[in-house]
Amino acid sequence: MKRFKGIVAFLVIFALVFSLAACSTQNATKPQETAKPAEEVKTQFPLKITDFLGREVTIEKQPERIVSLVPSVTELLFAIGAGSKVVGVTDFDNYPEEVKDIPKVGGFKGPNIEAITAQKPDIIFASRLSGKEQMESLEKMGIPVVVLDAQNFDQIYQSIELLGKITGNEKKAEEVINDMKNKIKEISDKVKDLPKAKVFYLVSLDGNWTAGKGTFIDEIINLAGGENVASDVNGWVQYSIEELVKKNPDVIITSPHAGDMKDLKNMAGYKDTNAVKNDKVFVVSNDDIIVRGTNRIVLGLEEVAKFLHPEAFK
Amino acid sequence: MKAKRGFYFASAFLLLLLMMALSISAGAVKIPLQEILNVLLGKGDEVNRRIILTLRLPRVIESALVGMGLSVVGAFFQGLLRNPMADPYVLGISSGAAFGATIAIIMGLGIFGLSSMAFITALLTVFFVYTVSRTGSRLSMSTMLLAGIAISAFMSAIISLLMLLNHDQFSRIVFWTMGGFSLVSWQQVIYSSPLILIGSFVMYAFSRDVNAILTGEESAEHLGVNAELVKKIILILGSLVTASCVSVGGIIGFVGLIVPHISRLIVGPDNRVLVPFSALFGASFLTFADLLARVILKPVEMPIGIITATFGGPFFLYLLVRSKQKNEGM
Repeated sequence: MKRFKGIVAFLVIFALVFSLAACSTQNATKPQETAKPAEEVKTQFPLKITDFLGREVTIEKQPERIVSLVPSVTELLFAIGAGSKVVGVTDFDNYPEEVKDIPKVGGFKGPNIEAITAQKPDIIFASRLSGKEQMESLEKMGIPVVVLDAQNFDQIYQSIELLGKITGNEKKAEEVINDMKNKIKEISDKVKDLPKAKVFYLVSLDGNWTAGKGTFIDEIINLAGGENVASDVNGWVQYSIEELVKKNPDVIITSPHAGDMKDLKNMAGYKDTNAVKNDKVFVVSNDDIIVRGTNRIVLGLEEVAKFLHPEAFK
Repeated sequence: MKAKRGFYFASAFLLLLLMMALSISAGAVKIPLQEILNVLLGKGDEVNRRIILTLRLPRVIESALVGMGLSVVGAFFQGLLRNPMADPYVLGISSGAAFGATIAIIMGLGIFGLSSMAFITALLTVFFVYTVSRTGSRLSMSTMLLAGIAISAFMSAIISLLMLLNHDQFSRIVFWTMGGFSLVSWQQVIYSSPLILIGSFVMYAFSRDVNAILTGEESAEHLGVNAELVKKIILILGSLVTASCVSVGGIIGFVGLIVPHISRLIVGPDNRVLVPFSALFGASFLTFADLLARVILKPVEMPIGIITATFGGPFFLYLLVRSKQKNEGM
């Protein structure tokens, strides 16, 4: 437990450092772009960047062959127009369509070093879950490894900006960020003065898993004009049904893989919540748009906002 | 000796009552004792009534039932298989049930379908192990043990493969295999209690015969005990009871292994005493474990297997060391 707290504190400090770093880089790049409105805002190589683990990584030249071990990073690379440079992804990658034809270099059991090396990448994007040993051995071969796995909306912006810089698609990256911000503002403007609905997000019926503070889901619920009843816990947890009954959510949202919704509506405890009584149990159309740190998360936000406040979206 | 046994039973029974009372009065939501009494008397606030009567009470009863069932089966299997490592899952029941649950989850069946599937595949697995280990009308216990281990390994491999191919269902499968009572309702209590209770009582009726078999099968035959028949009955009933326990609570480890051993250290190896004592002690133990699982990190729930192992393991070690010292002293 003590150790866990240590890790949490560590992550919090990192998050703070990053948000500060993000502010300073934003301030630094913006005037530059007003000064040079021309298309070419060439990144200077070798480029020194700090990744999400706080490690400094030096990228010698603009990468042409990219391996992404993080589905959200793959999506973002395509979103900012660098998709054609992606030469390796994981089994979990499913968006956009084009990733189907890209060689798979990792999956369930972690990254496959041989398959990655065979793609001759000049840069690898990894997540905190990618396997420390594997990443170290790749770095020893001189391939820069950048850990980029956004845990909140701000970090999504940071990843997009960083990816733009690394791949030389800064302009498109900025567009993607602005689109996201505009859409979020549009949605939150609609719902911000409406009464807040009490929401429970069911991740998985077996074990009654939910998403507490520090997850995209919690952030989405808040932005969509709701209040997460599980905000008294951190991260992904098994939530007490007793507590759920006591909090009595107005809306229950869940995902396609959470379990059978017929069960939920007949289940002791759930049966008596306002959400089930008033038929306010919703299923998001796709797990990925609510848990993946990409620009598609605004679609998840929009769906949730419509669930909570249908009257605002007529 | 008789008086001493009476004392053991009285204290085990009191312990169970105490644990159940404690479990009903504590939980993620704090409800004062007075209010709990009101609820039990048919009054009280509606939310509190719901929490206690439809969520907590069935859960407490189910955890006691499963704790009892697993402990009774564990006590018999350890005796019959002459193996201190034996537990209710040793014949492949757990992996069989997990296999069924995995299939049910992948096929998208609901909770009822999942329980039934787990129950059926658990029994099929044991039946397979039984068929493999039978030569003529005789049943080889050591072959059964080995066949159980082999089929468990095989099933686990298939489950891993299925998880690999369906990684979006990964967390549900893993959760199910860890076991727990978070979604138990009266419905499950009604389905599972007849089999667990009747099965355990019928097995208990054979405890004298099992005692005789433990002294040697031949001498048992001389005493007029049909050893082959008794073994088969115990195996079949034990499997039925275990399968019902697993189908409601998932694979809860350690209870069926440790509780019979602890009980044996306290009351001795005579099954006529050991079995009912294990039943009471197992019920108290699992009720307490479930209580801890609910309250330690509330409102977060912990997997119950973590509790059974962290509390059962050291306690068992303590008893082992103490009984060793006692024997040395003699």
